[in-house]
Amino acid sequence: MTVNLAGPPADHDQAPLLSLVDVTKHYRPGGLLARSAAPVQAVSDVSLDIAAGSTLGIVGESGCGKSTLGRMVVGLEKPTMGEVRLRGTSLSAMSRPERRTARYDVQMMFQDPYAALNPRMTLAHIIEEPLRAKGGLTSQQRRSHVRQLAEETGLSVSQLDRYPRELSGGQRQRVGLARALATSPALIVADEPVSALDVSVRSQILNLMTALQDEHQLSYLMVSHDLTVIHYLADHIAVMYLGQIVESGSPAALFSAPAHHYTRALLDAVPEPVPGRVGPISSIRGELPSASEPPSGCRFRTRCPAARARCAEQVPRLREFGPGHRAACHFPLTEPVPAPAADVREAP
Amino acid sequence: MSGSVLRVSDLDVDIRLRRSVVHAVRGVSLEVAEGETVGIVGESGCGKSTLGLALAGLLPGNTTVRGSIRLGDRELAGLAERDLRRVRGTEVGIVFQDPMTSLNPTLRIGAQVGEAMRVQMGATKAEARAAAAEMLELVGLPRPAEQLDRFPHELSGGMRQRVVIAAALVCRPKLLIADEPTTALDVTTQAQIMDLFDRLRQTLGMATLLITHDMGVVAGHADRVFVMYAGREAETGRTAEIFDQPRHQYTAALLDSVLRLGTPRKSELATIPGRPPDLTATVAGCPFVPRCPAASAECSAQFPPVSGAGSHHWLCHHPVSQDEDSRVTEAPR
Amino acid sequence: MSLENVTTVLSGDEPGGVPEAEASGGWLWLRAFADNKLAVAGLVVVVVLTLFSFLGPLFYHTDQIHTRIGMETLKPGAGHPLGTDDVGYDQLGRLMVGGQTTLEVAFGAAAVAVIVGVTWGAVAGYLGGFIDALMMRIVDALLAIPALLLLLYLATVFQPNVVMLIVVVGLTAWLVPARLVRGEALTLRTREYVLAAKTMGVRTPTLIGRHIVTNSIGTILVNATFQVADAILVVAALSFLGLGIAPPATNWGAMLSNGLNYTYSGYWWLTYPPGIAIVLTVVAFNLIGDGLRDAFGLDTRRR
Repeated sequence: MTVNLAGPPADHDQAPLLSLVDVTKHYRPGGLLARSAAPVQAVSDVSLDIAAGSTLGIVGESGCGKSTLGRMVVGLEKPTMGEVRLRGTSLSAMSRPERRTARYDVQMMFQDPYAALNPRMTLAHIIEEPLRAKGGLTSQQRRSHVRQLAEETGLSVSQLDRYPRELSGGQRQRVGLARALATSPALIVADEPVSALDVSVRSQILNLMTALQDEHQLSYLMVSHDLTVIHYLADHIAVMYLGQIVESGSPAALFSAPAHHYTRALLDAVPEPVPGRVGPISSIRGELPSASEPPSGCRFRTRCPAARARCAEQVPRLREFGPGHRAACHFPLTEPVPAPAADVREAP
Repeated sequence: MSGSVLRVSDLDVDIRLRRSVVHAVRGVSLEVAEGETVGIVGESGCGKSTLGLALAGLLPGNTTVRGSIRLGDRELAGLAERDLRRVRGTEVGIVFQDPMTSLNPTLRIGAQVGEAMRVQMGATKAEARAAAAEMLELVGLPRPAEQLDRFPHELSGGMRQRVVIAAALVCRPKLLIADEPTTALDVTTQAQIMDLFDRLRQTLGMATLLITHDMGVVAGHADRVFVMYAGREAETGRTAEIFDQPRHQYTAALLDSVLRLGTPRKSELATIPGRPPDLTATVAGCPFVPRCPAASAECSAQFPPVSGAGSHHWLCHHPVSQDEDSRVTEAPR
Repeated sequence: MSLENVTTVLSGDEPGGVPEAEASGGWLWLRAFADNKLAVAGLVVVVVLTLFSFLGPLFYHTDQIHTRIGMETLKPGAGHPLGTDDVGYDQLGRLMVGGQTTLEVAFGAAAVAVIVGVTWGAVAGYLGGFIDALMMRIVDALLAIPALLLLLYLATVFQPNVVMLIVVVGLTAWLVPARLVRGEALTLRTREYVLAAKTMGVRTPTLIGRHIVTNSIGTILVNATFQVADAILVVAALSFLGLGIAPPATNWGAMLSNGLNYTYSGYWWLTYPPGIAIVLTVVAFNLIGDGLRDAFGLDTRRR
């Protein structure tokens, strides 16, 4: 079993806030006729750590499994294999009421500002909902909490009695953020939080997210296909392709010296707003293979410019390329650091 | 002026809603020369998509159009639907954002790509099929002859977009209008499609109107840029001029707020405060006033006149001065 | 704006950029409904007929309990604007009393149908999987039973009264709203705001009520108006077949069926008033339903 380890070099005494250990998610296609078809391998053997107060960015394109990963962290889906651990305790080992309490510690911010808010509820009710679900506060206390959250996220209190349709995309994302903060979570999973927003509004929301992180010691699990956003916000980055982590490391390491060809391709494809360049260069060919029949060996080999025979025969292991920088490739772009046996961390 | 494929003069588009009128496009004038790619950029609600629809002749019934749209030597504004249909497909090709909905799921690829040839140019089935195959090869589909008989759902998003492009270009139109052609695609697919546009431009020589909100795409693929705000022109110029020396306050603010790989991590990002204006209101002065750092009384009173020289002009009372500008032009790679 | 957003602007419901500044909050549909003249006309007709039936007798006193031999089938004239019926009741007064019963049963049955149907459909659609399959197969099976025959049977076994009619008509009519709301629930359960509620730990019943049902309100209201219209017709049909409520109570259907016995005698005031009342009410509710459907933007729904 490939051990994909991604995460900042954590100190071993303190359990990370959230860990994914060998998490796999397979979907069985439904219906009688499709029963015998191969399952869709959305996520395969992913292990990740998120430390308190830090941001882990997961970047990848459609079909890489990053959204599924986000949903498993939040509890909307259960892994087929492997565990999601909050502060060292596996979610599946918890009793139902324990899991409900754990929920309040991990909340989610959604991508589509137009679908993330119930159009028939006022903003105040939307932000209040998690507090009502959690219980333990009077309606007066809830109201004042909501007001405080609104102020913190840049919404004017007078807007609280309005409906989502009257707001712009950016304002709706603020509401989404306020709602995610309501139960004072330790971790917020942000699934493409700014992709649907205009460029000038994106920076408003990103500024807000950074400020809130400092203010509340929040951790973020940021999932996006947009490298510039991930680079800006994340302390540590994991690159996913077809359900697996192919490279992980600090933003500086990944962007100055990527080891994996897919990371290189993603970097090359980012359209930089600088005139006079040749423009984005596409260095990979072909199409995404089917997630129910992934290629043998290295899953990226069908599109990789450097693929050779070995790539089809053997699944590449994650190797070290620097502190906290790991990649799984047989013919990487840079030289791996020779790994002394003791340095490879197994999943506890 | 000869050599211009498209010339738009003083175009106004109003959309009549149940209780109000949206002034989606106001007083827009622009020109596209042969073989040139002009990028129309702006954010939500700036009117660029409405402009695209107007130029394609695809506005619905509840709209009023004033002004002139000249394609070559023919006036398009006010043309009857029947004549517009002839123009579309043969002289103007259109590519929309979502490849999922741009193709009819019940028709085969070959039929859809060849449709314009058969309907507009009276080609026979065989001729249309051959032209379709040739076009599919040109857009880089593997095994084009096989693809002719497949259905859209059998292809991926990137391949579907290529098919849409093939269908738009099969009659070799003079002008291609592409409205957010890569927004719904992954970034690596986006790069492939933009490469394709560049290649096609070299091979077929058509002029392109690239409508997008993505400044990066425009920087790498457009010859000239037309910046829109609140339905109006804000600034126009060659790509290098716009990116290196933006003069309109909006253009400068927009470029400042674009996130790049080089943006320092977790730094305070530049933003444009407020939100885009309500297009149902008619404002006397410059629509950017509520959000502009340099706004003055003059700006609220009077809509700015055109200033500038040569290929670069802007509509701003207090443009960014030349020495203020210290834009980074080298990409840190 | 992408093309999609442009076309939504062009059709009048912009998601967020161009606010329809006049209508705020969740009542945009009311504004749209008010603009629809036919729909408003329908509403006016319903209100007028309801007032007529329930408040009319306060102003126009007639004896609707005792029959009066010797006063039968009088032509409309002094003292009896619509004449009398075959047992001497004043016809205009009868119309009012009949209207009360008709409207009570219609509204009541519609309410039962909607409440039961919406709950059933929302739960089935939201939970999905095996439970959904089971619940909807039950609906399918019940749909196969012809409602009218069932009602006829029940009517022969029990002597119908208003409450029983409401329950029985309602319980045969809930199947359609159940199907409709289940369809909505299937769509809505993947919406991000529903996922958000799940993430927050909102309990399932609350979630279904707060998020699924409230966002199906358009479909529900439209269907409810058609339910009322249908119930009127069903009650009229039952009475027509002689299985209505016992006298001296009556309803428009009973009056109509009664009056038809005298078609050849030329006593038009026995048939036209109740007939017109039925038609007016049903058409009015249909217009309201259509108006609501347009106001909510539900183009391609079945009833």
